[in-house]
Amino acid sequence: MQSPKYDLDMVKTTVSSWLKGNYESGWFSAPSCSIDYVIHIFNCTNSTAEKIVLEGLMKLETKNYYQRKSMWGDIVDEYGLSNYLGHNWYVKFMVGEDKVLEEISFHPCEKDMVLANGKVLFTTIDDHMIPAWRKN
Amino acid sequence: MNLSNKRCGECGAKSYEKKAIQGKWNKPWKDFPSIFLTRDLELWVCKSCKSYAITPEDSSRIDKAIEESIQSQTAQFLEIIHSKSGQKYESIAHRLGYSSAYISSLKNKNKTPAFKLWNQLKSIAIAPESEMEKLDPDYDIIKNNLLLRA
Repeated sequence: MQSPKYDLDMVKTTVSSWLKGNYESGWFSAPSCSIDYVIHIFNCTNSTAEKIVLEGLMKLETKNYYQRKSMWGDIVDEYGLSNYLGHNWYVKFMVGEDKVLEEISFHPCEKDMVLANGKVLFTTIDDHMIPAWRKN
Repeated sequence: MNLSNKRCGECGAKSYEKKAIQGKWNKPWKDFPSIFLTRDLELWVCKSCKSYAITPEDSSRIDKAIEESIQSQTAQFLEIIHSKSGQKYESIAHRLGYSSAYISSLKNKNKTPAFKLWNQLKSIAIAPESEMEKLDPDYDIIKNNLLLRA
């Protein structure tokens, strides 16, 4: 079975540092796939959406691993987080050479996912809940 | 955090630059489908695809800029409605179904309204004279033949 590229404990240590106010810990490289999507689902502020994403990342375990893939020459890890705030979530991130976490995607699964351990995560949103900018 | 040599997560280009954004913010915020920013917001923006990135220090700055923009617009809408319709703020509050204290806090930019009220105030501000009459709870809908009869 394929394994994650980035050590999850190390990622969670980085996220924990981010939650404590370390502004050099990480960043969102595609907010339309994470922060904006969370705001769209929960009608919240940017700060709340950021907290939801970070606290979701803290809940990841190795059993949530989905796959790794290449993205513009870098390797990214993908996970499926089940039953967090009423949804199943698709998560994608990478860690740069400078150890900074790049959070790429964090949004409800738009289609069913089969995790690396065989567990199936069903989509928890109807098609009409997918934001218009994801359909274009 | 410096993103000048980072890759954009939307298009893959390494072309972030700091840029002041103003005007239409085509992203959701609370129950607002999009926002019109009336003050500058400096963010890292991809020169290639125009997407922006968010660093940890940005979220609270974005919230503040959006909140201040909405509060400023709301206060202006109320001022326009008040001056053009000649209605007192208490009357405006009564007609909209809100307390005078709440409308006063909006006028003083101390609170941020939900999208529904903001949009309602915007619509009324366009034509306050005619819209205020229609909002009057005592407005005679029978006399104006607005009720459908079975």
